[in-house]
Parts: sequence; structure tokens; C-alpha cells
Amino acid sequence: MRFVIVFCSAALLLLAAAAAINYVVNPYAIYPPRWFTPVSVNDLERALRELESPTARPELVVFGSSRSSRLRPADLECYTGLTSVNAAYAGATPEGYFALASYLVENKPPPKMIIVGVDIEAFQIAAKFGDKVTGVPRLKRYLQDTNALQETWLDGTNLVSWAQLDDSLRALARVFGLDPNQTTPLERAWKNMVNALAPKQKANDQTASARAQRRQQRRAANRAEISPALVTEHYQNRFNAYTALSDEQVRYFEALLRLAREKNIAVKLFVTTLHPQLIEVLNKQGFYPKRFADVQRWLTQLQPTYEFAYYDFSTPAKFGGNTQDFFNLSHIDETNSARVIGAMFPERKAQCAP
Amino acid sequence: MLFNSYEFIFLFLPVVLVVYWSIAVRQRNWRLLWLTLASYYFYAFWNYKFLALIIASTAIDYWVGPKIYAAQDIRTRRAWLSVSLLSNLGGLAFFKYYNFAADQINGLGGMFGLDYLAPVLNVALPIGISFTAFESLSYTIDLYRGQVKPARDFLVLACFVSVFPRMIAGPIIRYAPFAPQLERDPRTRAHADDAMNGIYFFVVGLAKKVLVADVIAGYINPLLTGNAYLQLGLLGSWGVMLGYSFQLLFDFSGYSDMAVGLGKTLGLDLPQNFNSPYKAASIIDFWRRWHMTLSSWLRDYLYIPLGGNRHGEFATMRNLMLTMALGGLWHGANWTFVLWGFYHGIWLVLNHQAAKLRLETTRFKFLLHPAPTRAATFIIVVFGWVLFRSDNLAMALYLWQSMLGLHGIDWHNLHTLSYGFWAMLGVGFGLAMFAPNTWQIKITPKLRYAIILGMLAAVCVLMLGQRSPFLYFQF
Repeated sequence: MRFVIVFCSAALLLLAAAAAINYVVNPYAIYPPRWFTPVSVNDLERALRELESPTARPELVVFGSSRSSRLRPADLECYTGLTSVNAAYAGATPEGYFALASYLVENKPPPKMIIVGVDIEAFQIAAKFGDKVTGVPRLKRYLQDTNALQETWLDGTNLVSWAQLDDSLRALARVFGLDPNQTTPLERAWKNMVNALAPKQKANDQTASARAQRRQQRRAANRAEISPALVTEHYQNRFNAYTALSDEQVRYFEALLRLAREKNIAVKLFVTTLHPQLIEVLNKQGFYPKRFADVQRWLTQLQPTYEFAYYDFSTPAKFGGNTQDFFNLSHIDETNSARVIGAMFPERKAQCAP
Repeated sequence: MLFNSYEFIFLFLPVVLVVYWSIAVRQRNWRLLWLTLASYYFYAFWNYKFLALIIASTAIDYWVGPKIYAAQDIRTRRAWLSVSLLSNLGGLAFFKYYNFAADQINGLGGMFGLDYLAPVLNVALPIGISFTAFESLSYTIDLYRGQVKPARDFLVLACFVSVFPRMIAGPIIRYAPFAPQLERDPRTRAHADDAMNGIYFFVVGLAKKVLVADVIAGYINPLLTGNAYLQLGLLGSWGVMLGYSFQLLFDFSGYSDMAVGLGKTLGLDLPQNFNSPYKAASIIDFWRRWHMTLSSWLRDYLYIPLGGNRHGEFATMRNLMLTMALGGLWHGANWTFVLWGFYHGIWLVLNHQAAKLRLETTRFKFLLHPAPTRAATFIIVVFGWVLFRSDNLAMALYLWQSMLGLHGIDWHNLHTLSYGFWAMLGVGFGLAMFAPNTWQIKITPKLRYAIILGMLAAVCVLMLGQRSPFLYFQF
């Protein structure tokens, strides 16, 4: 029995110490003490920070995933004359847009307009629901499915998480003038060793072909993780077994529209763009066209109730875009994004078009 | 519910243990009922719909058990056994292998211009079904062989099939040695030692999972997802596959240790499942050390009924290959698993043949020195894990080619995998090859052990935020 008691005491003592550090340093700004600057955590947290910055009074907010993230606020402001913030974040799904919008209207004057980039796969039935939102404590209460008990539980478990402790220690290191991102001597030694081992590039080889080859290698290395093959496979996986729209995601999307109607916020929805090459592959797989039709049918049904503007920009041809202006097969770049904005606000195209 | 989750450690387990030892333990029926209900809740936490499947298959086995046992003639006995086989293997076949079979049929049909001969169903695989099916079968097959008596009542069988520590990923238990433990009052054994050993096994298992397996996984998973493996050359492929070998060992043996520890806290002994498998000096030895409860199950319920080694050399080899291929298929509905089974089958056959050469009496006896035999066995096993981990044969072939240096030396992957990964690889290697395993370390009720385990447990709890499911859950 003494063994068990000592074991539990040792474990609880260490956990209590970690919890105390996390509570006092409060790196995610969830607990009352505010003595240290919070750290940035993930894309959603960054989007939230933009919205909650004291200087931000957004009149137009973009919600969506990374596929909508290249809609530049400057372009939006030119086309609409409204102060704009792009709150799109990677892997966003409807409960995320809803949570952000709810937070915004609760803490700031409601914006005049929201633009939502609708990804067809955002309603994937097999997608993990609410993971990102529950990871940001200030937002999780907007998910209707979490109750006070769950919130307390999440806050409690957050207090004893290594991720938060790591950020607390980084925040503390900064206070003491240390750079938490500085490489350790061990890391430097490793890098030196690898550099010594790796065959060196011929520095004096300055022929045009050698330079071109190096340039190509660098480009390939930079794009390695977003090669067409990888993107295609990633999206095939995303759409795989996507047999129906998720009830939960549909519910939160409607909740967003309802919130906008209550606060008199104009809504523009556009279906985000994929490269025709990717669409061709997804069409063969079969789930994409069926779910696209489902989303279109469903939005058409909702349109009379919520009176939003709807744009199908699923391919570049539908907004006068270009198949070259893609960051990768699933993401349009800033040039195509500007064309998307132009297609939604044609009246200002002459002044603002790139 | 995962063992490595806050819900399990801070809510489920304390409630189960407190009620079990303070109230339920006093009376056999209450004890079994409480354990069964807790186990059902544990399972339902993941997907309550599949609970019906577990209860139904238990009910069928409970119903046919006495009939198998009482049947006078072999034909009646076989007929009743086939009901149990159909119920247990039928569920396994449907949930685990139906879509695989449909894919093969459709692929074959496609070659002749026939589309979608068999519909592909959107069904989830009930976790743990492969384990519970084998355990239930051990009950009915042992009844058929007359080696056990039918369960005294439904509770004891339900508790045997569902008891939560080993429900999801083993160790695979047998009815004969386990049922008497369920019948026995746990207070009759020295449960102070059980508490200490339970804590020890659970914490060490948790540490293996969250501090070693998951950390290695963080480095290698990005390089094994999608087509990312195409950037691996000699260094990267060896790094990644060695990493995967240690991840798999510490993940699965970690789960088994946790299961054993949880069993001990309930006064139940679960069998050892791993015995330092990477220290094996031959493939035969490896299979005596890796997933020991599956190996012995396959030996007793598949290899020996097929004839074992009783019908000559060719039949022995055939039985070995068949057992290993089916063992491979048990792991997953993919040709890569079948080939992995065959791969080990071939090495086992070669190993048996090599044993007949009696090298120890020749001038080549230096080959039997532990260092080269262990190294060779480990390399063979790592090459085998390529099939086990690959999503398809193309990926396996590419990784093998890379490991043989056919895709060049990828110095840049020394950077990509970072020094942290290589350090973890060193830790994994040291622990797997040189450290004693969890069963070999005997702890005593000294306070310093309690403090060390307590601190280790706290560190593991801090890491739970990045929790990931156990690899063997998918099987």
C-alpha cells in the first residue's frame, strides 16, 4: 500500500508542478494570469489572433481553408472598400468557421460581410470533427456539442500537457533573454558532421547548365512535399469513402448562415477551385462529382432562406482564372485569388484587377 | 478508449479499480458482472454499435459450448463446432476481408470488361475482432477436443471474451488457463505484489509507447505516408525501416505490458507476449519471442491440425508456409500481409533445413556465434517489416531497392530525419538489443522504485496530448 501511495504522490507532485507552470505562464491565454506573452500555436489560433487583435475592426472577413487563404485583404479592400481580414486556416471545416464567427460577433462589432470558401471535402463524413477547434480553448465553447463538464475536463487535461508545458518553458526562456529556437550544441555538431559526410557541390562549376541544374534541384526540393503526385494522392484519400455529407458539418454550416442572418451580415459563398488535372483524377475516383452535386443541391435549397450569394468557382474557367496560376494542384495562387475576388465584385474590376 | 488517454487513466481505471476492490470483489457474480460491464463500456466508448457483435458471438459460443462437449459422436460435435466457427470467423471474414475480396473480384472482372461485380461496402472494422475471434475459438475448439469443460455460466464466458485489458490487441488468452482465474477470489492471492507489479508493467508499457514508439513515429511517418517514400535512398530507407522496426516493437510490446499490468491490478495473470524478439538468434527463435500468444495459437489451432511435422518433410514445409501465410492474412486484408507471412514461412523452412546441417560440428561453426546470427536474424526481420508496413507491393519493392542502394545514397535525409531521430534510433537499438525486457526486471517494493515509476508515469501523462492509437489496433 505504501508503494502505491508513494507512486501516486510522486506522479501527482510532478503533474502539479507542470500544471502550476502552465497556469502561471498561461501560454495560450486561457487562464486568468496574464503575466507572459502568449505564444502562437496553430493556424486556427493565428486566425483567431488576427481577429481579436485590438486594432482589428474587420468589416469583411474571409472564412475557409488554406484554399481560400490567398485572398489578399488588400485586394478585398480595393474591390469592396471594406476593412478586411482573411481568417482562413489550413484544414478548416464548418465548425471552425462557425466558432470564429461566433467569437467575432461576441467580442467585436459584427462585420458587414463574410466570404466563405466552401471546400467540398469540408463536409467529409469521415473527417475528424471539432479537433482543431477544441484545441483552441477560447473557441471550443462555441461547439454546441461540448458542455461545461467537457470544457472543464479539456482545460484540466490541457494543464498537464507536454505541448503546453513546452510553450510555457519557451515563454519563460524568452523572459530570461534566451532564444528558445536556438540550435543546441548537439544539433550543431550533428549538422557539422552531416555536412562533412555529404558530398559537396562543386562550387566552381559555374556553367549555365550546372546553374540550371542546381536551380532545378532547389525548386524540386522546395516543391517536394507538394508535388502533383502527392497532392493527387492526398486528395484521393480525402475523398475516399466520402459517401455522404456529414450531418454535423452541415449543421454548423447552417448555424453560421443563421448567425449571419441574425446579425445582418451579407454572405458570399464560393466553391473553392481545384486544378482541372486533379478534378479529372477525382472524377475517375467517383466521390468528388457526387458530393459536389450534393453540396450544390443543398446550398441551392438554403439560398432562399439565408439569401446569400453563391458562386461556383470549382474550376479556373468559371471565374476567368488561369491553370498556370496555381500554387499546387489544390491551391490557387494570389493572381487567381485576385480573379476570384474580381468575379464576386465585377463592378470594381476596372480599378482593382491585377 | 485508449490506455494512453486521460479518460482511461484518470477516470475509467480509478473507478473500475475502486469499485472492483471495494465492493465487487466480495462476491463472484458481482465481480464478474462488474468486470464485464466495465469491459463493455470500454469497448462501447469506441463504437457502441459493435458491442452487439461481441455479445452475440459470446451468446452463440455459450449456447453451442455444452452441445459440443456433450455430443457423443464426432459428426455432431463437428456440426456444433462449425456453428461457432461460422459465427466467429464469419464476423471476421465479413468485417475484415469482405472488401478485400470484393476488390479482388472487381479487379478480376475489370480485366474482362465487367464492372463492379461485388459492391464495396462502407463498413468499419470493429477493433479487436481478430483477437476476440481467436480467443473465442480457443474455447470452442478446446471443448471439441475435450480439453476444457463448458463455461459454468454466461458471465464467466462474457468476462473471458471481453475483459478489457486485452480486449483490443491481446495478449491472446486461452479459456483453459484463464477461466479458473476469473472464478478465483482475487483476495486470496498476494495482491500487494500485484499492485506493485501492475503499476510497474503499466508504467513501463506506457513509457515504451509514448516516449519511444510515438516519438520515433513522429519522425518516420511523414516519410512513409503517400508517395513520400520515393525520396528515400540507402540511408533514409534503412533509417526509416529501422525506426519502424523499433516503433512496432515498443508500440505493441508496450500495449502488451500495459495489458499485463492492468490484469495484475485486477488480480489476473495475462501471458507474456514478447521476450526481446530482436535478440533472437534465428527466425525460429524470433517467432518464439515475437507475439508469443499468436504464435502459440497458430501452432496449436492451425499448424498441428494441418498435420504439423507428422507427415514428412514436404508436408511440414507446406503446413509451415500455410500457417504463416494465414497468420500474415490475420494481420490485415492486403496482399502485403500475405506475402509477409510467406516471407517468414520461407525463412522458417530454410531455418529448419539449416538446423539439419549441424553446423556446430563443422568448421563453419563460427557462423553460429550469437553476434552474426542475431545480426542476420534482425536484418531478415527488418526486411520483412518492409512488406508489413507498405501500403502496396510497389512501395515495398521501392523500399527494398532503396535498402539495397539501388536508388543512391540520400545524404539529405540525414538532415530530413534530424539528429533527434538518429538519437532515438540509438535508444531503440540499445533497449531492444541489450536491455533486459519488462519481464526480466524484477522490482521489489522499495520506495525509490515507487518514486521513479511515479515520475516516469507523470512524464508519460504529460505526453498524452500527442497520443496516437496502437499500431495493432488496426489488426
